[in-house]
Amino acid sequence: MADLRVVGHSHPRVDGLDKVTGSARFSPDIKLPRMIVGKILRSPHAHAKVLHIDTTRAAQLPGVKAIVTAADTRDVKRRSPTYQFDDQGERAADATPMVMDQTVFCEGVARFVGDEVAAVAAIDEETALEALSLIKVDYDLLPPVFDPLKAMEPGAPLLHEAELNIAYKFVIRRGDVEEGFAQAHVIHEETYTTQLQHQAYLGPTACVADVDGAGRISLWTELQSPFRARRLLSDMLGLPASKVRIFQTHVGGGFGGKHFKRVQPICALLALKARRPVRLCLTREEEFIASPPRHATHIRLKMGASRDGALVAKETRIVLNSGAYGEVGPIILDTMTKRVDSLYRFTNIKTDSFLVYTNTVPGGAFRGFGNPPMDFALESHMDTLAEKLGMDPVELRLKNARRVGEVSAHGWEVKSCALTECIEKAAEASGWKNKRARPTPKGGKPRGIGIGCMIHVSGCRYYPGFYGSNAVVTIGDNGQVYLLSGESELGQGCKTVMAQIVAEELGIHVADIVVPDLDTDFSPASLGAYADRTTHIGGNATRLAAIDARQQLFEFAAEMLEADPGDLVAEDGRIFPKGSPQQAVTFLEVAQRSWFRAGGKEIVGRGSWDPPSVPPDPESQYGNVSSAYTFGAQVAEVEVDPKTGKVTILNFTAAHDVGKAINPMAVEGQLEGALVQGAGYGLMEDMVGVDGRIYNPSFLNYRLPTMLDISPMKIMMVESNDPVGPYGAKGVAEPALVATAPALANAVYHAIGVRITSLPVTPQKVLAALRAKEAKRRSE
Amino acid sequence: MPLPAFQYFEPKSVKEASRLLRKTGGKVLGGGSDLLTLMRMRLEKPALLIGLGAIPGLSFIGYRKGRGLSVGAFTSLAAVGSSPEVKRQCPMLAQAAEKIASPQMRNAATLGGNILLDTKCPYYNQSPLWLESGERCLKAGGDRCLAVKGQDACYAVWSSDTAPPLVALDARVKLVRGEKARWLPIERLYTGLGDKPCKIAADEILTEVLVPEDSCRLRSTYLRYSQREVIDFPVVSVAAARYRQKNSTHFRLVAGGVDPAPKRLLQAEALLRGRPIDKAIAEKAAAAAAREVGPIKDVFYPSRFKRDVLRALVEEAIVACESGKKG
Amino acid sequence: MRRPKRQAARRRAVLEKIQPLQRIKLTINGEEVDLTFKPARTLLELLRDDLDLTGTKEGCDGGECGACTVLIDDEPRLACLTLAATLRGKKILTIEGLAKDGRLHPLQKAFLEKGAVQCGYCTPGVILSAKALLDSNPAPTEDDIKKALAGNLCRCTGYRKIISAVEEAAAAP
Repeated sequence: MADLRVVGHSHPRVDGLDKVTGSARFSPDIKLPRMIVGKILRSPHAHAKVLHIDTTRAAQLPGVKAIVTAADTRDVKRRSPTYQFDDQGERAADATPMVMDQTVFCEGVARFVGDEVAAVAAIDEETALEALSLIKVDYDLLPPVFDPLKAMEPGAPLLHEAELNIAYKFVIRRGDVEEGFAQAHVIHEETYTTQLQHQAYLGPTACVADVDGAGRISLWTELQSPFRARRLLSDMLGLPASKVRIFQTHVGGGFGGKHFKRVQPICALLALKARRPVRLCLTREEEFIASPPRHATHIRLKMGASRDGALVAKETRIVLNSGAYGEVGPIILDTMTKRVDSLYRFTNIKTDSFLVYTNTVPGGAFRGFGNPPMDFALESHMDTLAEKLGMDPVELRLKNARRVGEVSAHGWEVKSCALTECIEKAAEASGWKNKRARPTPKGGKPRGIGIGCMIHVSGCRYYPGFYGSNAVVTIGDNGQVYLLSGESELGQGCKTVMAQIVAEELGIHVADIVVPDLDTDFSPASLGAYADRTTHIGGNATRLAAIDARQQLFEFAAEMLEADPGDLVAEDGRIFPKGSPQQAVTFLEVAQRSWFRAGGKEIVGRGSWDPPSVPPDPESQYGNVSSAYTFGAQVAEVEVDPKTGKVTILNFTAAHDVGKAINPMAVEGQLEGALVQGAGYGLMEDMVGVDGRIYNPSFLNYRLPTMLDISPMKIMMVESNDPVGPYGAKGVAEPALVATAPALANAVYHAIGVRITSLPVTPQKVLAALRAKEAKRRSE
Repeated sequence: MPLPAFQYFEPKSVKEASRLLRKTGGKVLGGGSDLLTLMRMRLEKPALLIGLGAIPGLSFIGYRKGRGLSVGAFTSLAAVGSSPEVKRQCPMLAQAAEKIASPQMRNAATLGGNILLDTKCPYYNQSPLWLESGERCLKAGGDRCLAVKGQDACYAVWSSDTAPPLVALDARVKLVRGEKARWLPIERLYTGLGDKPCKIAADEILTEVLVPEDSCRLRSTYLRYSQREVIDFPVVSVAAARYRQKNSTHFRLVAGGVDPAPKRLLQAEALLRGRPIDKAIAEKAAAAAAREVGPIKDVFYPSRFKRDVLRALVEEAIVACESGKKG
Repeated sequence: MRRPKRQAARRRAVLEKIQPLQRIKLTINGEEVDLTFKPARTLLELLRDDLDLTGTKEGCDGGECGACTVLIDDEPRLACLTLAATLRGKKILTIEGLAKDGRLHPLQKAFLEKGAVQCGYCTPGVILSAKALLDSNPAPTEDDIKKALAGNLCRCTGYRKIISAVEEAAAAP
């Protein structure tokens, strides 16, 4: 892609000025006249029948304006339906395997500590809290189950109306695993476990809802998929979609955690009942105990390799702890079940995976979406296999690395892939060879270096219907350009990337472009920010919209220049026949002509793009689910204090195949941020709870890495120029976190020779493992 | 969560403050970082908060030869941590102060507040919903301690950073009640009871801390272990002060995070008394220290882990003191 | 039962004599204000709810994230753990008061240009911690920056670009 003037160059955020001056409004900042405050009553029991809810005393408290319970949702659809469509646009309720079992409030049974039971709206927070304390709920305690391995057995207390607590199951068979193991020179089997990790966005989720005189409800909130939320709300509230409007405020971070939650319908119900604007803002504790974090997992993995390192068999059994509800659990399980199989050239695969209900907080989407826990298991396993084979871990990975042009065992068509280059670059830049041979300087604490590789998607299709994005580009009377996109700005920088694309295509500057906040009344629809689809899919739609606008603009310019519109080019705010810049008219002149000449029009460019991907076959699970796959390799160097078990990260080297970096500074920011989140996942973040209570629902004891916990990072963007992506771009935000935890665990193993198979790799575990190793050595 | 309702008053003198405490059952507001957090969780609900901002002479750092280093209780931890005088006289106290919580907290939190910090426990320092969601611990109104199961005493742990150094330095605290003041060795301020860790009357006000001349300019080291260097309370901490009299030396060693009070490590101290200090004896003392405390486990840290870390810190602190290296 | 009751009555009598509302004067972003509020009001509530200065953010349930950092008499403090009643005569600076006459502070400019902002929720607090640092230490090392800003959590950026931005602002003329 030659001569890109805007795309491929770093650009400051288009919403940055608003943010550095403190004027950016997030959902908790929205204030409307007569606004009152909502609060949620939550179950203190992990498993209990809700026999009766008495709101009499609360309703009598002066200042209380509305109380809602499951009884108020009687007239609305009980279950939020799945909204996927077949290729004819018909609703196909089961097209995407989601288990939509969460109602607005828990109905009849509370299934985890924090389950929503009722809500109030009152004139201030104090009154609302007092009202909550006056609601009397009669519970009948039921036996809870917390351990998914126990919960999936027959006879375990059941959470939902089913014979077992297994919410979903995959059975995958490719090739011949038995034959593969028979050929293997080495075989390794191990169990890995991973913890609940919270998205821990700094901005809590809030919603402000307001009902107008015509009964139309508006919500100001933070959502990764506002159009899906509009559909769900309209059904849950029993209102036509035309009566629901969602304004996207600035979003205080999402990372998967700000898809539709109970907070939006509850807030809407309160506003409908109180007939006043209501603000409902989750406390940090509520975010921790009742917003869906990354699931905890249990993975049994067995792999075999031939003498030369070729991976000949992979057998996996996965138990994903769904928590109290299913929701997106099945597709997270899908990711865990299949994604890593396309990272290396596996052919013999046997996987059984289970999504299991327990009386704990329901899990949900979080950057990487099932990929990080499985990648931790796989990449830890790779190092053990390398050791058993006497191979360098880098060499083993290179031997098996996915290559461009291949089709994986699950039918994934790899049209761009720089995995080999990423591994080589990361190894080279991190000084792998020397550090692998001599990791620890004389007299120092033990050091180690480890690598992790990953594969991810740029959008992941589960159904044949529209999986694309829409965009509109309009040109104003003063040459200003409006870009309307249905994609969600979560802080990742998509507004800026989209504006760069428009500026590139229209030959103007990013500063000339206005990117309004998303409003479901005006913004074109999109599916939302997940599965790393925004830049790849939304970027393509935006590009098409800009090209459409440009073509219309050229019609007017052609009149002025007496030229053929097909010969025109737009550059630096001017339009001219190719090769004759001296004949230029300005962008402004043409824009004004389009507006003001008799018979003119406001230029409205439209762009829609549906990726050429294929949903997995419901039976065989075979299908090219994404239009572009991303790859990366990360190397971590660590130092371990043998006395306290503390792991210090010395540096990261990350090489990622991003396709094309449209805004390199933003891509770098995604990688840096993900490395630190990944380091949190790898070393310290853990929602601790064994008896249904989360013991650390706060930033004091749920430890996010601070500025003192970070290391130098070497970031390398490898551009494989994907043939489908806009300018070659693929997703980048999620991939960057996937390989971090295994790189760290592998580095810890290299440093001290103990393999920690459960995340996070805490000092407690390291020290216990060192002690066990020492005891074993003594006994031998 | 908003704070529960209360009244607020700023008296002009300690005497008046003490009188109000006696008459109202109110509480003194220091920097607020501990008390306001407890109030948010509804673990404290005083009817009146008494601010010290209008009382002159509670925030100071001074040294007088022969008397020692004195610090006003209302002095911020940031001021203690950055004070050249504190660094000169009691470097360990400055080291401890500048490791507490975060820069913003240290600007607000006071030395007095940190000395009187409530003990912490994952079974207690929780929200009303959390406490309702299972068995209540002793401190939260239940029948038994959940941290040390089956015990009928509370084992919430001591987590203040400044107390172990001050105990190691044999500091005195001044407690004022009406017209009367008493000086108490800080070690005797602590009860060892998790649910009532400080022996201070409801109408007494801690106004001043004195590190006596004998404890100034000693070789001393404060070490703390926490997973992160900021925000976290110490999981285990150790203060070591090396006293020299004629040709003999002795140590005062105090651990934090392992007991409901700052814990003197007496057996380790005894092993070091009058002995030439080398790595071997430091190791021995550290092993003794790890034996003499029964570190209280919690859901995050097993007892064995705390013991191992304590051992590592004690050894390092002794060696650092002996070599004169700053910890 | 008689004694506690009498004691409670006596306590009430004393408490009733104390002003139920607090009235103080203080300076916020250069403007002197005279405010009356309930004693339980925190500075954070005062700023956000009473004065609509929503640039100061609430990120946690108290004192753990740094999002509500403001400068009180030039020192970074947590607005969520500061009782408004204790601020008589104090000078408060929030993010809204940082740009002068529409001109960005060098830190704001550097945060923008260096990509130190993503979702932006932590940004006001981080910038104010950084301002306090640069005012007292115009040429901080990376270590100084990390120590001064360690009480401000950021979930998006991984902090590297924040460090670069503070360095950039320090080097600005």
